[in-house]
Amino acid sequence: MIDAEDHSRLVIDRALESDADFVEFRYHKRIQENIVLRNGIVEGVNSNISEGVGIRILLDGALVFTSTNILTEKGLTEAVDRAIKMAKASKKLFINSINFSEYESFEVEYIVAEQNKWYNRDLSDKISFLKGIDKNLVNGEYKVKFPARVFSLNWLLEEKIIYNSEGTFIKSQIPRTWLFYLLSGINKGELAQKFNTVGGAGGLENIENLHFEDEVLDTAKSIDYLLNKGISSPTGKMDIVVGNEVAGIIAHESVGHPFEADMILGREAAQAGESYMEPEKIGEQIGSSEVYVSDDPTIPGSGGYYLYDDEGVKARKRELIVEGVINEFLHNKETASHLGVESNGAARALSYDREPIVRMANTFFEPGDYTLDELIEDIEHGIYIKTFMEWNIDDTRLNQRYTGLEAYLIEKGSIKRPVKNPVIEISTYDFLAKLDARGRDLKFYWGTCGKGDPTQPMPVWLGGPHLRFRNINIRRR
Amino acid sequence: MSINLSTIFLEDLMNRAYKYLSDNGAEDIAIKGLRTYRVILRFYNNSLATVKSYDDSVMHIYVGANKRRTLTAINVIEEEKITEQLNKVLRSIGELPEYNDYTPLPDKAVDYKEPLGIFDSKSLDINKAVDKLEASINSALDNKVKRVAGTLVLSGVKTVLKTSGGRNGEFKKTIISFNMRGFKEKDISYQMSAISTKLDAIPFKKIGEELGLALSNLNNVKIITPGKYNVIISPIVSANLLGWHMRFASAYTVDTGISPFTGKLDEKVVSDKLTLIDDPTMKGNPAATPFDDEGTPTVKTVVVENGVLKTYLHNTTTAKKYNVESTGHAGIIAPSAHSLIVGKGDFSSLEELAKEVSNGILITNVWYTRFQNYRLGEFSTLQRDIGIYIENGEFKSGFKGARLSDNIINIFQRTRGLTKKRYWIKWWDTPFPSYTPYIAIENVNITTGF
Repeated sequence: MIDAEDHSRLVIDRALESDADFVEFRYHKRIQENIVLRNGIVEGVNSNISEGVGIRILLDGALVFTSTNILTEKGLTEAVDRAIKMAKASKKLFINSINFSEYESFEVEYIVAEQNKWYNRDLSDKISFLKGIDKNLVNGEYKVKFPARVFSLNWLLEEKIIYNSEGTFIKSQIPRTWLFYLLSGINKGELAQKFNTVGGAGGLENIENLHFEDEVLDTAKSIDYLLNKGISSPTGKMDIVVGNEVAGIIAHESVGHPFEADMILGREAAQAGESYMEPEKIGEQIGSSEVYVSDDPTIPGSGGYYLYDDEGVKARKRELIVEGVINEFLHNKETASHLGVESNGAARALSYDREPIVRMANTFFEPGDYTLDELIEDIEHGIYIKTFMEWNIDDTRLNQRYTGLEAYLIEKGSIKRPVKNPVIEISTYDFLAKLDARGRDLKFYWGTCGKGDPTQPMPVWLGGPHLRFRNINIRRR
Repeated sequence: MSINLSTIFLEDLMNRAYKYLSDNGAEDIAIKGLRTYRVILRFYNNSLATVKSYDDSVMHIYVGANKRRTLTAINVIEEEKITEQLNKVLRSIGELPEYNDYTPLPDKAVDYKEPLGIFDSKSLDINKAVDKLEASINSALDNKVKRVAGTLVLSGVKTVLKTSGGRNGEFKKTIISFNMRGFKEKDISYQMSAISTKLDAIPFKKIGEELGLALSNLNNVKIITPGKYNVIISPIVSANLLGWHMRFASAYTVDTGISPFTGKLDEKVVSDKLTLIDDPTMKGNPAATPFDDEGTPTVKTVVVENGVLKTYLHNTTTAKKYNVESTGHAGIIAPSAHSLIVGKGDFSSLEELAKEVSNGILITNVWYTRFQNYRLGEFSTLQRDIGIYIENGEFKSGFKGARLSDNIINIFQRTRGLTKKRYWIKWWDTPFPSYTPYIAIENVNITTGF
């Protein structure tokens, strides 16, 4: 461990002496390992370590970020001097001055424990786990063959120490363990593909607690059933029920991203895009009264878990939409200042060499009261889309598409045969207006969210209960 | 301040790591050291959002022994921490099962030809970059663009390679990339993209003017009606979509069983009007490199020639499996393209191509390309920025909301023509530097969620 306190003092003092108005020091270390099994063969182990310091300064309205992996007095001094030089050189192009909102400073240390530590378990055990899943796929009683099978078991330990010129000190250590899988099934020349990720904060206990193997085998079973019994999807207007995974992607893409205040203000205009949302729409109705969407970094064991964000702001649950009404956006200190509110702790940085920007953590539709049977029982003719594969949404987050993978016909209140490639292609306003009931079964999935330049692929959870939408136009591929 | 990208310190760490691994049983070792100096000027609403600056060094290390292989990336500089990480790697080697397709790294030293004229320390000058960016923004605003957003990235990279096969090399380059998206209204936007090895080679002022010109006649945008359209895709869109063809050409993707090109060698996969090349030896290619991660010298690789798939992209491991020579595309685990160069077409201008299409649409930018099935190539991608209707060979009014929903291989079987002129492209949603033209494609399925 570096002597972060001394280093931070060096950085902060030197920047303040050079006219900086605000200085932030973030030591950020990432230790990562992943093991890949591809079509039954162990590809090898990839094991990485990176550490360094990211420095942000505000100087006369200019915001500058520098980073270095040379954690010596010389390396840090050069990084500060570079930051000051960049700020002074670019000041004339900061037409709109950057400011940060007021916030409460904390001095806190917290650690997420790994109950079952990654390095306490032999590599051969981890390989056996992956091979066990693969063997069950190859030897299982499936009519479908799975010629493409890729598994990657991943572990990441992040250590951060954040100091700033206003007295903040946050030290944290968070491990994450997750499984990525890709399956491609074939039956009589017909193909279906699915990739997904399960995992969260914590150690190898996630394998059992989050049912990694069941997740893969359930997917295999659904592909087998789909390719054997699947029929062409019906099209036209009908009632639909979507599963937890689909609810999660809708929450993330159609609500989470457009509620990120930097997207609303245009900061991502040339990268991850803008937003249909506008600052003055707080308090307006955006969907049916059944729409409740939240983002909560404080869910224990979650993929997007943290208690203090990367600006040192205390994290809390953010209720984005309550009873169909726009309630709040996701903020860091910069966007909060811009819109005259307090930051709600959404600043995250991927690594020491990335600036903290507004990110989601764990975004989800809040659960309701219905069982799946109750959601389906009054649907005369519709479909149940449990999982998806292809998805995309435009860069203002209105024009979206989710193509089902595991999906079933609903007739007279019962789930019938699987249907192939049903397509939901709809505008966000229309979609949210048609949500009429929520299940009670909240479930989350791991996602890797892309944003920023250079891009910062960030671990998040996305989830929800089963959701019922009325009168949705369904197409097929 | 002149940036010379010294790697004396990094090379010392590389030599020590190499010796430690070699002394402790490693048989195949490849260490790629990168020193990267980067300045990013990011702007929106006609004003800088932030300036970011990095100066980082990292070692990417491959270790093979007893037919087992591992990879590690290390950026720490303390010897104790480096040794600890290398011990982890060596322990992993001991616990891994044998890799049946294990292939030793190539041996015999090579005298690499360092690409000339691709390093220009003056291109990393922040003061000059700020002035250029200011000129570009002002030029757009002077041409009635309401607001602009984008990124100017100045990168200087020194790459040093040391392998147990005696393949040692180094080279320096600068990469300057610039993207600017201009808005006339919320729904009326257009994006320009450029990449070069020299700051002075990017026409900043002209980019601002062209943004203004592109948006000048567009006032109302309608939502597109779903259906089949003849489509002209811009160089940015060509880079996005044909970038997937290069990914699918990786022997690793083919071998995994998730490429539409599986089993298609020497077959006609797209229109004979299309030739797809990767050439990191090409003058002016921002992806220029004299060697890949294994030390194989890079060469011009014609992946698709007049519509016929000629080769997959190989490293030594995949090459041995397919009984061919490496194409110089390591990635030691998975080979990948350095760049995409689309062979030039016959049409003298975009306007001539529009006349050929007669009635159809121009898609100027896309993002969020996703697949229902990689192996089949079933994909969709979303229009981003303005689309323009083509009527009787003329560009008319704008539209929005289009989603290209089709098959990424099949649509290029229906290629009608390409422009002669090509543009170097690299932006947020394209995988690597690409030199691409406007391409006309027939009968593309368009849908919309509106």
